Amino acid sequence: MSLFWPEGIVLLTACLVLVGDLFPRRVQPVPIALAGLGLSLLSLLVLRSGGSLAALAHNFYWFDLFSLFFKGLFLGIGLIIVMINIDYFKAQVKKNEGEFYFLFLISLLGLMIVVSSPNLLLIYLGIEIVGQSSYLLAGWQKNLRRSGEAAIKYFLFGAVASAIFLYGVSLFYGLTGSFDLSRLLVSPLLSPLYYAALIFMVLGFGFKIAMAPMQFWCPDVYEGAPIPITAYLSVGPKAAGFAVLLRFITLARADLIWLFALLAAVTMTWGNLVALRQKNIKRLLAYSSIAQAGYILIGLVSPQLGYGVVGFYLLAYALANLGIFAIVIYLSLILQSENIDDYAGFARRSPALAGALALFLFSLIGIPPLAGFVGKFLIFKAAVGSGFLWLALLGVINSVVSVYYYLNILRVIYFKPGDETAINLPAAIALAVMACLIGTIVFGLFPDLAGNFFLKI
Amino acid sequence: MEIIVLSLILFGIGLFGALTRKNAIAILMAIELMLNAVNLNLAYFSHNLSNISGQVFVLFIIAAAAAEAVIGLAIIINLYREFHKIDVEEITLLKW
Repeated sequence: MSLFWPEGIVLLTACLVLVGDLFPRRVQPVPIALAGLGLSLLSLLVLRSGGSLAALAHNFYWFDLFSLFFKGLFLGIGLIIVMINIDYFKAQVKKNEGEFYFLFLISLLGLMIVVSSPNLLLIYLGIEIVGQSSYLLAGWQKNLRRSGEAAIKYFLFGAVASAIFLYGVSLFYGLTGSFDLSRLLVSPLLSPLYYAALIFMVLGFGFKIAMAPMQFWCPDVYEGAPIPITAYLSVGPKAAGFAVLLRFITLARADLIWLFALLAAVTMTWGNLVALRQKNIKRLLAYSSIAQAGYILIGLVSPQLGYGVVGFYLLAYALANLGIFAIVIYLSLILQSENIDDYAGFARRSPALAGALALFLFSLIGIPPLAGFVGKFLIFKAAVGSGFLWLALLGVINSVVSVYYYLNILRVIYFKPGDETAINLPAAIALAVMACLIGTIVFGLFPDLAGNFFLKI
Repeated sequence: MEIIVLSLILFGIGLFGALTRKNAIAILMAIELMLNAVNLNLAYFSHNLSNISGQVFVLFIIAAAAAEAVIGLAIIINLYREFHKIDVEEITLLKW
């Protein structure tokens, strides 16, 4: 039973936050959420060092290293999002704080369920929990028109995507008589229906990770949603989608690999080319996250390496992206603007923060010795190792293209003259930026730290 | 076999409706149609394979679809208060 501690604590915290919302003056949801997430992360680390891994209830729920790694990643993401949300929520959103944190915690719980099961029923319920709570979170700024627009777009795309996924599931059930993904290994069927089922399911998950051709919702939702939720959507559900695709591809037969190679090529090229002409920082980061999803998809073409490569890249990407979003939140609070051109002169107002932003962007580009470099190196090496030299080359070319728009942000910050009065930084955001910065540098210099504990690189 | 074809047609109508209709509520209805195609498929396979898990899955889908409709209608009401219309073609603050 102790295996369920991480999920149990998150569920309990969510309920506490909801009940506490009945007494809004006396109970603050933020400390409860932070304490719950911290406690849950702690119990996860205890579980890991105890080494008690198991499959429960006839393969219904797995406690393997894979799910432990992803649960830890989600809890870390949750902690950072809550921290960067505090000041933004006070200044911009204001209303319904308790319900906001309740939905956020429940959606984290959904992510943890998604990665723990090879059973399609639990995977479906998990993504519905994540999806439905994030539709509401995207529209949380009810007085802002663009927030409502983001919510309706996210909802309609998401509902269609989950219906497509379910159709694939129903065909899969008809062919194998089971909802267990590990049946993929033993099914001898090679009918067109089998491929149709797999493609439908992959498309359904492509929505969560913003993979071409299911990426159209991504820029609009990212721009319209409250920024902390944008930050969450760009790392949390994305990582969960990749986790399921990883389970999928390690269990599926090898002929799916070509499909993933093709999707990776289209996704990263599309994301990078459209990102070149973006003026709004959230939109730019949306296209950048599509491009990053393309790089991660490259990692899926060599499933024999296991999940370590993709896991490490997701970790590096999450750290860098959350750091950037923390700084973007701060900038939008002091400037009331999300246009990159308005960031002029920021380097002189706060040199430390500008330096941190530069490091995060370098990590996304993949410059040594940061974590992003190690991630990209491992992924391209894996692609070459499994005979996809052209894909690795395309990835490198795409990285070079992406240098333009990432460095454009730095050009504005460092070289354009602007307001130069010094400013001070809220403690919570500073802490989040510090955590991401330390992670980015430490995992870049010593990738084995993550490797030995959770991943098998 | 006829049932599979029927559910495929139902799914196709739903998908076509979801992609071409402009009224948000009509799109919601089209999505429900797609989910019902899935339910039909699952119930048929479950009967054919004499395996109960397909029908259990159907129950879960019905419940999740109800929750989805609630959330969707809440979002649409909020949208109507802000924009005074629910035509998704005309709700275009965010583009390129």
